Amino acid sequence: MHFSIRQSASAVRQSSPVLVAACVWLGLMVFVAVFAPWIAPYGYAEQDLLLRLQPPSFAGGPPGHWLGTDHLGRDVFSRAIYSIRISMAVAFFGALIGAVVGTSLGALAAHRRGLVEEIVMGLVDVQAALPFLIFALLVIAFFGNDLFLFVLVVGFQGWERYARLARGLVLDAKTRGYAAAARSMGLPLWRVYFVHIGPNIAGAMAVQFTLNLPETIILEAGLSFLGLGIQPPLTSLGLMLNDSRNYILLHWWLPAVPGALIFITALSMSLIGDGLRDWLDRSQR
Amino acid sequence: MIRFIFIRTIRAILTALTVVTTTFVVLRVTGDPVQSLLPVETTPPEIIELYRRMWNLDQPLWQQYVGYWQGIFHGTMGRSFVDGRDVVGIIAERIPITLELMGWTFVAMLAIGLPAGIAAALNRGSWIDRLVMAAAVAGHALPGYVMGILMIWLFAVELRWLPSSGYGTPQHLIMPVITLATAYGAVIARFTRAAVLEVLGQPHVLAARSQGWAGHTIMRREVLPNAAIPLVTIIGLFLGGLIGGSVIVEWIFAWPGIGRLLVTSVAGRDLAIVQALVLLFSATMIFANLMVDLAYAFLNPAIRVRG
Repeated sequence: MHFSIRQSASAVRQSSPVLVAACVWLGLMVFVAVFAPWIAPYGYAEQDLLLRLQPPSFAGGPPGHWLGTDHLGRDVFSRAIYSIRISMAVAFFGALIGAVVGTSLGALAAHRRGLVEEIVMGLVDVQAALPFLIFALLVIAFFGNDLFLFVLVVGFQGWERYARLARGLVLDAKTRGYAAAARSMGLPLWRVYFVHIGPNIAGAMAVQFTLNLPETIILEAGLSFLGLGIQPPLTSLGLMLNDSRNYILLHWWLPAVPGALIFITALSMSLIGDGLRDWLDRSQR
Repeated sequence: MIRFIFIRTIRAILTALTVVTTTFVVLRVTGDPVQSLLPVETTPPEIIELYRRMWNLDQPLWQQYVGYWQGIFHGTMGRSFVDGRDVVGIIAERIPITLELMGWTFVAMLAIGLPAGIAAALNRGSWIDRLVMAAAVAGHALPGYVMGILMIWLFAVELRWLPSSGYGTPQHLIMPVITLATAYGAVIARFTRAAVLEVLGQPHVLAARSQGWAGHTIMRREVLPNAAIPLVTIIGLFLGGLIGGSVIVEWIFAWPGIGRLLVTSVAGRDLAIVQALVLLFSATMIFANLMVDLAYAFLNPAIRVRG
């Protein structure tokens, strides 16, 4: 199973306009996340207390703040840009942590079998028994909140699914001829796993990764919304939404901007994940 | 069958043991809770000593662990770090409030999800199907906190039909229930659609149809009972989602249940309440998953053999 550029290009041509729009949106979000400091006209914590709660330019607000300002006179557009940067970074690195930890543990369980497998799968059961939001809240309550720990916690979201998937795939791969052949030729173990088995399970893991991304975004924004995730003065989409709660009555743009960004981004990611899964299913048949 | 029940029960007990031990260990390795609670420099040592004794922190670790288990079985989980009230009492008075929210949500999400999923499956490829599937995908990506804020803006601010938050009257229930139920109703619709489509293609349905049975008879006697089997298995999954979702929804709508209690306790670092709530949630989930496994084994004999 290889992802060649020619195959990907043909997959894009065959796919629906909705999927293309999702890809374009996600690409835009990645671009904004990477180049945030050059795009944002103001800093995310820059206050102008004389221009508080101004409506967007197109709704009669001042020309300098085209999405308006919040209760501290901070530019909503600039804060949204930086929030996208933070949320995307937390989601991406977080999802990567879960993927690496889960896949390694799953592969280890399939490799060693016996007691190791029992312990890993037991941990998977424990994790699956506890709603992840509750688990994250527990860790934050016990260990306090700092950015590094927060990314780590958010990242563990979904590790048990990678572990289950990787274990199943590696067990399956071990029964196939190529793995036994590679082993019998006396190749070192790391080569068998990274060069021979790895590429064969990479497609399924990539699909799991894209399906996991929107959940990570939603979890990050949710914890920040509860005031237990990203802490001010840093900003995140969930934090912006939480800040806006007291101003819904007269200032609709304050919740609308972060709410729409979270929804469209999570939607794009799950559409791409679904599309990728369907495409992988088709190409394996 | 007995072997299957036995193995599953043992696994559930092991999971529960791990969760309890983990919360105990984590609570102890994070340092002395008394020190994070009281200003160490200015508090007289006798007061610190008193607090230590109140939470049995002066005993050796193994005695604390035994005491921890005894507390769980006697229903004494210590006192709130913040206001000194009995933890079990604080939680017990809020459980019915959360159950009220969850119960109505459960009814609402089945009322939305089942008909939508069945309609989509029976009209496969039609606009109904496409609408339901699009709503299911969108519902999955629309987090409760965005949906909740949108509802408040629409129904409380613009239309002024409903109170924006709080607890007490049936009107207060509407927005939280709809917020929670749309998210999971969408997923139920998707599962129901897949389950019904799967059964519709089975030979026994084709046989019934070829014998000239009426459509609604086939649905009632062949399709729906068989489609219900996979749906039972995902109810455990939903309970987890509902617990997580209710935390967010209770927070948005100021619903005074255990979800809101969890958020305020985490923010205030009231570890006595946090650990009791986590044990409560885990126990509920473990028990629900066990029941689902057993129900599935009754409904589908093939699974019993595998254990």
